[in-house]
Amino acid sequence: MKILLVCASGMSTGLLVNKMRKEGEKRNILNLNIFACSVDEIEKYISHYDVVLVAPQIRYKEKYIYALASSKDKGYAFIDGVHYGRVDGNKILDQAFGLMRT
Amino acid sequence: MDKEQIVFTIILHAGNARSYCFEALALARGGKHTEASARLDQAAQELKKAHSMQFDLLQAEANGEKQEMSLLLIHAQDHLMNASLAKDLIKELISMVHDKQLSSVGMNIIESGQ
Repeated sequence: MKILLVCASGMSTGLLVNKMRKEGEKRNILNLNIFACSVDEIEKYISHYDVVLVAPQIRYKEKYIYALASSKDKGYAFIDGVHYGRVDGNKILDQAFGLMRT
Repeated sequence: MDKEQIVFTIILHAGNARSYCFEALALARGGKHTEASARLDQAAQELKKAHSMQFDLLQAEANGEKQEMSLLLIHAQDHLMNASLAKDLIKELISMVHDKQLSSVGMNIIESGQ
């Protein structure tokens, strides 16, 4: 499973990547590929990933992200604000898997 | 709340504030000024939350509690500053949009009267 995390500069989500990888290891999930990029780079990376999770602080770019994700047929969601604030890799990984099933 | 969570929460609230500001501007451009001003109020609330967390950090430092500087904390400050500026500028922009809309309504009345 390939997850693309997107935020304003790829910095805060860069930290989330590590948390989520650790959770993935704990759950023995193989082939988990997580990457963080800035919203300006999303067009370059989106095709290579299964789902897109967007940090809540760039909600004002929703129209753009929605249009891009739909055109590439990728599931996307904004990371839950509470989970983001708590830097909760576990819950955010759940959210990514939720997108996968739909 | 550990330092990391504080940083993420500052980013979260600052980002929310910025989002509300841009929503307010879009609403104002559509002539929906009541909704726009409600969004600006929400933005102010979110900024207040982010500011109060930053204030706690500053105060702790002033009390001799050495803060560990990280790039991530500076990044949170970046978000906060951006949001703060967005709010002030967008407030001005909205009043400009409002004035322009009022004056074009005035022009229409004058034209239809002739």
